[in-house]
Amino acid sequence: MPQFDIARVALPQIVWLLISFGILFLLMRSMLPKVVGVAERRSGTIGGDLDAADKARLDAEARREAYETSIAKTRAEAQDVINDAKADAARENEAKMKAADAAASEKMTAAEAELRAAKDSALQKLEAIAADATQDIVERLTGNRPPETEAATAVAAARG
Amino acid sequence: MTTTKKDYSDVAGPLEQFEIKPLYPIEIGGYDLSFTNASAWMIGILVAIWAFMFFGMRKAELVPGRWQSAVEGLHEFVVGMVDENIGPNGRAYVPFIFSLFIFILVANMAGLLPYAFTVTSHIAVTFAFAAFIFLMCILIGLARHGLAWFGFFMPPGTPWYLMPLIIPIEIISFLARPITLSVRLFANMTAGHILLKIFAGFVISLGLAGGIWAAVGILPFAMNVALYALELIVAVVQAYVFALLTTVYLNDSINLEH
Repeated sequence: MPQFDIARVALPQIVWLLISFGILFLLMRSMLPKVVGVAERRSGTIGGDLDAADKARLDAEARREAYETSIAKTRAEAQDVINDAKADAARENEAKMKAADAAASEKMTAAEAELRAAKDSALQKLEAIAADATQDIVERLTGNRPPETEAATAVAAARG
Repeated sequence: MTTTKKDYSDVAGPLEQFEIKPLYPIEIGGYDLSFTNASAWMIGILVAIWAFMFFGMRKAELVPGRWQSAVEGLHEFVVGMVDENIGPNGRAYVPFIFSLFIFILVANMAGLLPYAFTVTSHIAVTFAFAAFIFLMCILIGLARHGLAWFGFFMPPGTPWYLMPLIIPIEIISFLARPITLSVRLFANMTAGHILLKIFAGFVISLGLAGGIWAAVGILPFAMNVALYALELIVAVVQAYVFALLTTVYLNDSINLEH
């Protein structure tokens, strides 16, 4: 086996191995930082992009929240307006109802008063008629006509 | 007719592929430092790796192309191996482990090309790597931990009465590291290439025998195809094992917790 002919084959191989591997090592030492640099640059870019994306996401979230609160606020305001309008309308209605009630009851009292007056006057007339009838009846029976005041008193007494 | 047969069988000698042939003789101070076929393959491997790295990382884009992904994937693989076996202190050794892994990987793969010479099939090369790693481990251990590093040979929690047994075992296993590390790679590559050549030789001999024997030649040919696939796996696995064991050995020197 030529490999075991150490005295002949070892030295030139080891020397040339030292030369070629030495150059290779120096070359790799100068070239590998570029490989490491690219990998670092890439991970940096990816990390930066991820950070930016995360920030954008948070931003969007904040915006969404702000939008939601503003929507809720607007809705509450709208609700207030509606409630106010409803309350106003109710108050107005009530006032109108009250006014109408008042007018109606006024009319009613007036009508009642009129009615009472009419009734009173009718009663007075009735008394006058009764007194007149009494005078007539007494005149027929006795022949002399009692004075009107006496007949009225008698009627009143008979009515009790 | 018989002479042609003899010529072919000579060419198909299974050990000839490991021969070191000087291409440009160099002698310095009486030492033979010739530029050989092995040297040529080493330089070729160096250039191939440089081209792979250079053209892969030329643009160094954030969104990598295929080639750049290959370079980055290989680097990430080595970084992962170092992180897993050594931890954060190991990052400084990534260029060395990376060079080691890619050199052995390309040498093993290049050896599978037709007419190729396999750099890693020589014990001189694999042992030079292993011895360098062995010395590096000792020096790093002593530099980082001083004499306390020798406590490595005494696993914590060992009962005192087992000490006389455990310590020699630990020392022997430590000293055996460069041998096992180098022989594993050398033997794997050599054995695989010898097998490939032997079966290829069968194909040639059976083909030359002619007639029914030529048809039988299909069998060693099919065997060679399967072996070649196996050798591709072996080439990758052995490069990985070599680099992995180097990180494991370095870890013993860097992190002294056994």
